[in-house]
Amino acid sequence: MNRGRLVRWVSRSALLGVTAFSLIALAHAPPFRRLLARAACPIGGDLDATPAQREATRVRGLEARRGTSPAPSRDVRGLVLGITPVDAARASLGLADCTVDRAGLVHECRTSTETVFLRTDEGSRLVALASVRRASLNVAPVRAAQELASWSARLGAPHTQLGTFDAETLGAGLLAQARAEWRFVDLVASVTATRVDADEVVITLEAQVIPTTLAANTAAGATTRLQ
Amino acid sequence: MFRRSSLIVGLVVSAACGSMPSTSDAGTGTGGGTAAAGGSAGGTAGGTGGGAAAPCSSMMYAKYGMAAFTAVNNSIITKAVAAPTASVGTSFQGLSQQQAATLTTNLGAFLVVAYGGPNTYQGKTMLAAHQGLNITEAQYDYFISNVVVPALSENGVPTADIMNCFAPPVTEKKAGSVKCDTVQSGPRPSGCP
Repeated sequence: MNRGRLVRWVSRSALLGVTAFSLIALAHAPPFRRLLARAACPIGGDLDATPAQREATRVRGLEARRGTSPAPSRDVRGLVLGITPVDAARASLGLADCTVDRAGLVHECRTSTETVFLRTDEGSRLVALASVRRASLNVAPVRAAQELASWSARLGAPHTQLGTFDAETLGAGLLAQARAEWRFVDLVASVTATRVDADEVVITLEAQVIPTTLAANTAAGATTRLQ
Repeated sequence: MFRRSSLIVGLVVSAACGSMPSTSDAGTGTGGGTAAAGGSAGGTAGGTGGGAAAPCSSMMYAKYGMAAFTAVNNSIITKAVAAPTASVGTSFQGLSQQQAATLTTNLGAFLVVAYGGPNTYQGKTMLAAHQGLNITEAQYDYFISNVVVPALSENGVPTADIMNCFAPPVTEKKAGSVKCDTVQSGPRPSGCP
């Protein structure tokens, strides 16, 4: 290949590359994302839902767990669900090592002892907090029982409880679980301890607000989303 | 010139968009089913821990039937939609109706084949289906603890069957297992290659 042909080949290849890149970038622009979804591209449908639609879907997903009486408190770790801005929540809890999901609604923060999920609504208010941590089979029953006592002190006795937070229950086998759940009209919360390994137990804490006005206001918009 | 550029564009788009679970991927799905179903070939019951697969895993479909699996599948989807965690929550919430239907079909078919039912799974392998979702071990743990186990127990599956038969395929940690293929972000779970 002589020098002239080489230059033409390189420049054509570069032009092709730039063209391909431009077409792909253009295809991922918001107006064309529905077409991407049809082409089975993950970028397509995933970003199509607005934060408000996602929040409405979350609320609808909680309907089956909704109780009838108002929660005595929405305070979780000094934060007020439904009110505290997520940035203030992170600052208050000292959460620095965080990643935010593609939808921009969930902050997943790691500490030396746990992973904390801070879920926000479309206004960046904290609407849910979940914590996931592991403990050895020896200490997990004690820690889980402490969490149960702590939450019971604020929310009252759990509305449902399966299993007991003790070594006998959790030692029975893989996926042996103790679970306590509180169900209010505006808040659901749970503490679970689940054996996931030979000698490890996952302890999860979860509290989510169910904003009744949001559910009513956005129900229409949510009907086009996940059924 | 045109054919060459079309080829390049096609290849790059395919590479960029290849991670969406899709019914159009018929033929690649057996890997996902095999990952779980294969794990049920031997081992001991879950009481000993360690993720060893139990023979009874492959008998769950015969024991409970399609209606029960459908009910559990629907419960899983309902609970996942409300999850406050990343990926499990917001990705499920952002699905279009078509995508949701595909996911429901694929998840249901995967559960059936993983627990000994007929193999109609036409989705991608677990590894491919979860690429780009950035699922961490904490998200997986939440999914198992707050979605899968409650879905099973609320639909009447006895604790003994959850521990001995349903647990092994989703707790097993080895190359090609459901957990190792699903968790693709953050620190690798201990025991996963």
